[in-house]
Amino acid sequence: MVRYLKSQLDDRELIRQVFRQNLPLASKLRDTIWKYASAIREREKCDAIKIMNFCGTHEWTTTYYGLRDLLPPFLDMVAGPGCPVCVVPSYYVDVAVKLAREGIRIYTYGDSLRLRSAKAGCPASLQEVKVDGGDVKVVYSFLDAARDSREQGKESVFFGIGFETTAPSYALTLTRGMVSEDLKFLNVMRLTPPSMKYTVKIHQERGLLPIRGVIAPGHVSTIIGAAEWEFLPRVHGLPTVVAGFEPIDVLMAVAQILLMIKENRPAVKIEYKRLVKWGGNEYAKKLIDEVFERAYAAWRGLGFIPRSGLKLKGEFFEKHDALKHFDVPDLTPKEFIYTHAHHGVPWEHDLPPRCRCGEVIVGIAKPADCPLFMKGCSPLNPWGPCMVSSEGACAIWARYSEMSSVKSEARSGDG
Amino acid sequence: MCWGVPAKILSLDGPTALVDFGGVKKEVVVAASGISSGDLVMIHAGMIIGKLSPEDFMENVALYRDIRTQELLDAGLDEKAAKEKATDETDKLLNSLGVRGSIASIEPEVAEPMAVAEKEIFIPSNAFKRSYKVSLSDTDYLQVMHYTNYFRFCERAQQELLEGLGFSYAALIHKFGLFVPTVETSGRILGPVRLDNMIEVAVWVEEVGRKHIKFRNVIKNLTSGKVVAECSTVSVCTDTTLMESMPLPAELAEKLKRYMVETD
Ligand code: SF4
Ligand code: SF4
Repeated sequence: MVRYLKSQLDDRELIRQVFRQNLPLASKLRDTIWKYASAIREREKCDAIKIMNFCGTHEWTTTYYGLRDLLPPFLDMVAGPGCPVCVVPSYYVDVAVKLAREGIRIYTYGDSLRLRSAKAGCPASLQEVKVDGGDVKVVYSFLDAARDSREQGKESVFFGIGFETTAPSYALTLTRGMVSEDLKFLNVMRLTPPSMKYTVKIHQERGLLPIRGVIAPGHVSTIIGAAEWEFLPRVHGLPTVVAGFEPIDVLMAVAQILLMIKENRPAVKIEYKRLVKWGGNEYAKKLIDEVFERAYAAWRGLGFIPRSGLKLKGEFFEKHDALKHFDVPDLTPKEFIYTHAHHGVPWEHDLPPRCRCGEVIVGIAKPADCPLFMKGCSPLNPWGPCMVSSEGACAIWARYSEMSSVKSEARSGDG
Repeated sequence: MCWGVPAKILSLDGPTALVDFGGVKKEVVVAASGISSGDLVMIHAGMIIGKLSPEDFMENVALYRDIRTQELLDAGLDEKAAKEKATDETDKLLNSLGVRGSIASIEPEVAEPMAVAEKEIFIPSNAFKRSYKVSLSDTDYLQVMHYTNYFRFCERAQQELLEGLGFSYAALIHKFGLFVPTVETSGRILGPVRLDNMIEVAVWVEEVGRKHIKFRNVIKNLTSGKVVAECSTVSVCTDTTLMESMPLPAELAEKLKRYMVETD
C-alpha cells in the first residue's frame, strides 16, 4: 500500500493515522453527530436514541477511547451479544472440565480458560483444573493445536468456540487433513445474525426503549458479507452500518446511522470498506459449508435460538466430534426431549446467582447495573462470563470506563 | 480471541502462510483467495480473513466525504458545490498525512433505501378503544395467542361499543327482539401476542346499512408497540324469533354515527 499511495508512512501506520489518531476528523464527526442527534430528538421528543454495537470489539473501542463522553448523553450506546466467549453455555464448560479431569488434554484459547461453570463446586473452570495439575494447554489457533496433538499422539480435545470469523480456520484445518484422529472438536460455534434478530425481538416484546440503529460486526461481515444484515432495515426498519474497529470507524458509523434515522431511510451500509464486501469471502463461506451445518443452539443466559449454531457434519462429525466420541449427551431444547424422547440434556438458566450477563449481552442492562460488578466480580476474579474475555462488556467496563480520556497505544493493529 | 490484527505476508505454503505482525512472525491458515506475498492482510484467530488493498482503503476514506456532503447539503449548499467542498476537505486530510492522491474519482455511494415493511396502519381518532390482558387460556402451545382469539377480542370490543351506546346484547334481545350475529369476516394477522401482553383493540364503524353494520378493528400489542392484526366484520340485524334479517332500529343507526369513519 505504501508505494501505491505514495505516502511516507508505512501502510499500517497510515491506517492508524487516519482511523485512530485523527483528532481533527474526530471532532468534525462529533459535531455532525451532535447536530443530527439533536435534530432527531427534537423531532421525536424522545428521551434517548439507542444504538447497539453488536461486537465485543466495538464495545471495547467505544469504552477504551471514551467515545461515550464525546457523544451526546442521550445517545445510548449499548453492547450486544457479540463476544463468542460470553455466550458459551455453562454446560460445555462442565464437559471440558470433566474431560480434563479424566486426563484428556484440552486445547483452548486463552480467553476461555477462565470461563466459569454456573454449577457450584470446584474446579469450576479450565484454569482451576490446570492449577490442579490437569492437562490444559492454551493455544493461539486451531492450527497450533493440530500440530501439537500430532506430535503428542495423545487423546485431546479442542474447545471450539467462535463465530463465523473463526469457523473457516477450523474448516480449513479439518479439510486439509492437518488434524489427526486423536484431536476431537468440542463444538460451541455460534452464528451472529440469528442472535441479532433475537436481540431486536426481545426489545420489542418487552416493550423496552427500541433499538434505533445497529453497528454490525466488521470481521464477521468480512466472512459472511454485509448483505446478510439486510433483514435489519427490511423487516425491522433499522439503519445498519458494518463498521471497523478504530474510533473513527465507530464515529463514522454512528453519524451514518443518525443520518439514516433522520432521513427515515433505513439501509445497510458498509463503513469498513477496506475489508468488507457485500458478498463476503466466498472462499471461506464455501469452506464453512463443507464442514459445518446449521443447528439449533443454546446461548449462555439466553437459551436456545433457532439455527444459530454450527455443528460438524458427515465424516467430520463421525471422526472429530468430541461429544460423540466420548458419548456425552448434547444440550437439547426441552420440548425435543419431551416430544421426541431424544437423548439429551435440557438447557437451564446457566448464569451464576445474581449475575446479569443475560441482560448485559442484549443491551438491556449495563455492566454497572449488576450488583456484583467490581464487588464479587472483577477481571482478576471473574464470576460471570462477561467478565472473562477481553471483549466481554463487563470486563471492558471494569478496565476502561474510568479512563475515558485514554489516548495512549495499548494495542497494536487495526482490529 | 476476536481481535483482528493486520500483518504482511512473507511467504505462502499451500493452505498456510508465514506472516509478519511488525516484528513477530507466525504461521497462519489462509481462508481467503487471491492472496500473494507482500500483501497486507487481516488476521483473526490464526487465520487470514481478507486482504486490505489500497483501493479499498481510499473508498473507506471517501465515506467521510459522503457524510460531509450530506451535511453541507443540509446547510444549504447546492449539490455540486457540496460535493466539491467535501472532496476537497477529505483530500486535504489525506495530503496532510503525506498521501498524494485524491478521492475525487471515487463515486459516492448511493445505498438503495429499503422500504420499511409495513405501512402505517390507520386508526381513526374517534375509534372506540379497549385494552385487555392476554391470559393463559388465550394462548396456544407456544404461549402465543391462537388466531381465533384475535377475532374473539374484536368481537368483545364491538360488544362493549354497543353496550356503551345503550344497546347491550341483553337489551337488544329483550327490548328489541333482535340480535346482531356476525356473518362475514376477514382479517390479517401481522404479529404475535404473547402471554401477559397487553393489547389494545380499536373498533370503529365503516358502514351502516339498512340491515347491517360493518365494523373495522385494529389490534395493537401495547407491549411490543406493534399493530398485530386488522380485521373487518359484518353484523346483520336479525329477528330473534323469525331468524330473519330486519332493519336496524333507527336510534341505534343514529348513535353509531359517533364511531363512523370511512376508510379505504
Ligand atoms: S468482528 Fe471480531 S470482535 Fe466482532 S464478533 Fe466478530 S470476531 Fe468478535
Ligand atoms: S459484573 Fe460479573 S456477575 Fe455481573 S453481569 Fe457482569 S459478568 Fe455477570
